[in-house]
Amino acid sequence: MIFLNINNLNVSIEGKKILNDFNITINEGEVHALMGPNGSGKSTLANVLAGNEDYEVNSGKVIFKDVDLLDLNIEERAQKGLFLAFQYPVEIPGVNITPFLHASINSKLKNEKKPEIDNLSFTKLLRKNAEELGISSDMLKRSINTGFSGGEKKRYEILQMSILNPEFAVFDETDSGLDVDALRIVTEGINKFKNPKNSFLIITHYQKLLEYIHPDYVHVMRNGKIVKSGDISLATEIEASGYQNF
Amino acid sequence: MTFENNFINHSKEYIFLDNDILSNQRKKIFKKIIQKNYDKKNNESLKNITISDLSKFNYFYKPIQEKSQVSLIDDFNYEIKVVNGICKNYEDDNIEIRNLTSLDFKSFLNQDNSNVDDIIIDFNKIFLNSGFFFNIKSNTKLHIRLIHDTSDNFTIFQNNFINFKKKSEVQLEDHFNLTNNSINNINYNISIEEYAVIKHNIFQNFANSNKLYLTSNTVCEKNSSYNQNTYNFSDGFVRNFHHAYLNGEFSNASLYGCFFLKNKNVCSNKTNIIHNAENCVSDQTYKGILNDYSKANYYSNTFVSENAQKTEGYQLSKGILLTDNCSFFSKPELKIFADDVKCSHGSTIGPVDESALYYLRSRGISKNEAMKMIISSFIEEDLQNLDKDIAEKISNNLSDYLNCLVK
Amino acid sequence: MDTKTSQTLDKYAQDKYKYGFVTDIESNRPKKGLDEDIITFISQKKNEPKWMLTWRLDCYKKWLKMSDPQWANLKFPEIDYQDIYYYSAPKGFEEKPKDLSEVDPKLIETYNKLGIPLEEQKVLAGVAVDAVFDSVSVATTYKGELEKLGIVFCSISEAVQKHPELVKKYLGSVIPPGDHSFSALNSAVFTDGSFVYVPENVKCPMELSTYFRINAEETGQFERTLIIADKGSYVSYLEGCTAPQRDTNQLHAANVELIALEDAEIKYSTVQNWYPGDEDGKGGIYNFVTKRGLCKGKNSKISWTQVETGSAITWKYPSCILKGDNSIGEFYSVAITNNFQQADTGTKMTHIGKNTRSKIISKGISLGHSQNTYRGNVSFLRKADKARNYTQCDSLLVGNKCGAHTIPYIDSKNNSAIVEHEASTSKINEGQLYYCRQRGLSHEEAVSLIVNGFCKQVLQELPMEFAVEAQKLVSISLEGSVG
Repeated sequence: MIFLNINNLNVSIEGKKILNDFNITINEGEVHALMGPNGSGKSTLANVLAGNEDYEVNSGKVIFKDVDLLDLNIEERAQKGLFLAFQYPVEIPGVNITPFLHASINSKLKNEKKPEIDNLSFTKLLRKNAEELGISSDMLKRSINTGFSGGEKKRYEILQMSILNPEFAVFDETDSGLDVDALRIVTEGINKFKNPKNSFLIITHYQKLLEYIHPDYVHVMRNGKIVKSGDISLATEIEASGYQNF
Repeated sequence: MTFENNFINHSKEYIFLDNDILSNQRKKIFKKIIQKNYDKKNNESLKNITISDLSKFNYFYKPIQEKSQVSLIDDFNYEIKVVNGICKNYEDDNIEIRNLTSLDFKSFLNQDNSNVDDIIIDFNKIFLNSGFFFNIKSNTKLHIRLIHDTSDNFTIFQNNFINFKKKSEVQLEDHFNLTNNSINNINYNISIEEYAVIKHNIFQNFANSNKLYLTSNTVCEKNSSYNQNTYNFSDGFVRNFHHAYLNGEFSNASLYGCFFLKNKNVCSNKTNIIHNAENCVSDQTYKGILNDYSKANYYSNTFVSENAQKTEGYQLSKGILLTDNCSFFSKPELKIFADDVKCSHGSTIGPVDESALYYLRSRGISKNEAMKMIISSFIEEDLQNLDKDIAEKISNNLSDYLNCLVK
Repeated sequence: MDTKTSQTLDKYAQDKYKYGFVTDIESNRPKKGLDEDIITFISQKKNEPKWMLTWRLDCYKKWLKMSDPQWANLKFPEIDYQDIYYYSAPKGFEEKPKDLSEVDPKLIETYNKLGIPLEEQKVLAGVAVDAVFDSVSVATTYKGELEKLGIVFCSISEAVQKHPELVKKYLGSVIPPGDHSFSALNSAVFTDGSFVYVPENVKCPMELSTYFRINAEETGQFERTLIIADKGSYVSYLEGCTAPQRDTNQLHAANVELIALEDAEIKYSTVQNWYPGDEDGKGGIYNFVTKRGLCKGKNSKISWTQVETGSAITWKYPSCILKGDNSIGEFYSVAITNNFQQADTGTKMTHIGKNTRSKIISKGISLGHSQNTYRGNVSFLRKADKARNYTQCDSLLVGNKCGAHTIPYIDSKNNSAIVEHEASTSKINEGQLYYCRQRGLSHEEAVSLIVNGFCKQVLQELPMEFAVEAQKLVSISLEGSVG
């Protein structure tokens, strides 16, 4: 089975080309870090994987678990096990996480033809995971992301991931706007969740995040494609001398 | 004098007397008013207006041309003096100025955008005795200071047309030098062509016995911008009704105003922005301070037509009541027929912020001084974007007003 | 708005009107049209004392001199008042049935179908129901329990007989019959409705509810409700409304008056689901309703909550007159319009007493070709020292054939009073849709979740027993997942 293979992906937005023959292969259980300067197309990649309709895919293939993701709509990709941790999680006033995430997980279970989880078991599961991530029960009562601080929003993303249990999680600049403490909590969450069955694509601008999460591969992206791949030493190199060498 | 007598007295001054269509229109409107065929109670145009001011005034008008003038302060800096509604005919590479004549009926019929439901405009139409055309030519960058001089007891009913041609960039200032007992019913039809950027500052500060009914109807074409700021420090009655039509995409209009009322003064305000094209932005903000027995109203309206997608329209009104005897009425409307819009309005009416007052006084500032500081901070942020001399002028007016507070 | 979202919401709204069936029952109707004879006929049918008839006839004379209010943002043909039946009662209602055994089983079945069982063993727990069918009250449940507490809950016709002193004192005291033509009309021809009196210091232990059903064709329903909460008492009241699906428009012109004395609180909730007409705007109820509450005593409180989804035309402004010092008025509203529905609804908060407070939360959702207007009036009179109002009205637009309008009137004559008003109009946020769908929710689920969230501030004000029904009505409940 091909876990994830992106082949010659070309993407534009409002006529402007952003991804340019982009290629990557990710296997089960691997952690990949994608680094690059602003405007290199990192966030575009995350949104194209999730199916954001603002982007126009001109050509290419995104094979995920033997299926071309590009044939699926946003929710079908999610149900298939793709999770995007948003750079800016959106506020949804009046909507509580419990019914939201319950509907979310059941849509996935239904898609996998597994029995749905009942209200009570779900609430228990949510409380347990929240507690592990240091999310108070008070916070669970609030509307999704509404009035949350940057750190709280990111923690909420991790909580959702831990419930939905995706095979493939994409983190879009999760570290942006986080202080050291929040960064630690978020990365601990990711590390706890990591297992040989799931894979990660961590998109980041800075090397800092990678001190907490140890990626198997580091890629450098520029002008819509990967220009260099390597291991963690690549990140150290960027930290020392920036992106101009790439 | 009765309304009927005024109508007869005015007939000889009516500019379009030899035009059948307009003369008949005049008679028709006259009839409508005589028969009171309008809804007096719900008519926004009559809010806070004393009906007897309309039905029993002394019509008086004599055209005097000598005193009007156009002076060039430098190549791009004009001062235009309009005396009793008459200006001096003038033309150069930048601008063309001339008085409205009976030959202009065609443009009068075509370009006149004034609202049919407005009784004040009805009066303007039946008593019309003056008007001017300004034509600001393409690609010019000008500063125009327009001074309205009205002599004692004059009743001015003026309909003006200003065309800003493509890519012109103009700062227009309106000043009203009114002496005593004058009535000024002035209507502007402003047309702003593509890529023109217009800033229109209006200063109103005149004595108690005068009345000013100022109405404007501005049409914005593609990529143009109209920014109107009205400052009302008058002791006399003022009605500011301003309408803007965003007819070309990517155009924007902002109608801003502030008023400072005292004694038994009254002012009536309305702004109205009609979005007829996509991707336009509008802003309507009025702020008022009311003291003593003063009274004010503010109507604002954002209308978004069905095809004006991607509209952004904002409204804000703020009123501060300084005594228990003043009153403020506001009606911020949104009428929206397109779905991809971001529109909002906010409105507050209340006293001076007690906690701010307390804070300042706890720092040793006297109550009066603290009051002044808070009230000036109310419009302070809006003054920052203005030219220095204008900002200064407003600050002076404001401190005069604030000094009256200290009794 | 992308077409998919519109389709989704359209789908919700086009769900067949569940309550559109007609009960096949013979009814007694006098001739069509309105004159003094008809009013006398109604009064006789109700066995009313003479003072009541005199009052009705006075109101009729007032009505004759009035014309219908024109200021609302509504378009409809002039109502022909001579083409309406003003009274319709199921056969066998010459006398109000003493108990359900005397009621035609078809009627009981009707209410069962509507989810309002009337039989003793099936009644809704914790809710006392007065069921009004066309012009008459069919049955009132839990009467005995309420009587023990001294609470009067009966039809207004019964109250005229049994509590004339209260009716005389309060009827028309909050809504003067001459207020406008619909109030005059209602006062002249009202047929039935509910009457509630809660005595001093009694907290009513259950929800009181009236269920209005229009059945007969070409019949107007003119309900009259009067609720009096005596000193220190509390009552929560809810009304629901449905009507059969018909091609012609039907008129519903109700008057509701609330009076809260010192320290009393009245909570009044409405779930309005009259037949809205079909997709082409044919048929449906004209809903011209006057609702007004008087916070008469100090520290009293009146709270209106409404979920308006039905009717071809809604003209309705539940209002509060805040006369007692420290009194509180609240208005929570969700109004959804689709197809060719028109709604012009809002509230009026009149601050008279010192320290009076009011709060307005209004959520409008327009779809299809509908027009949805919020109209509100907040005024502070001279003596309303330190009064406060907070208003928030938000509108959501789906599709570019509909309109959303916000028309607030704000008038302050007191310098220590503070009014704050906020409003916004926008479409469903695409970012929110994307976020929900990334979590695996279908487009439909995402839309209903977001709309649900948009209305939450209002829905949570409804009594528990009805919150779920309301959510269903808003067509946004996610089966089993709304916690």
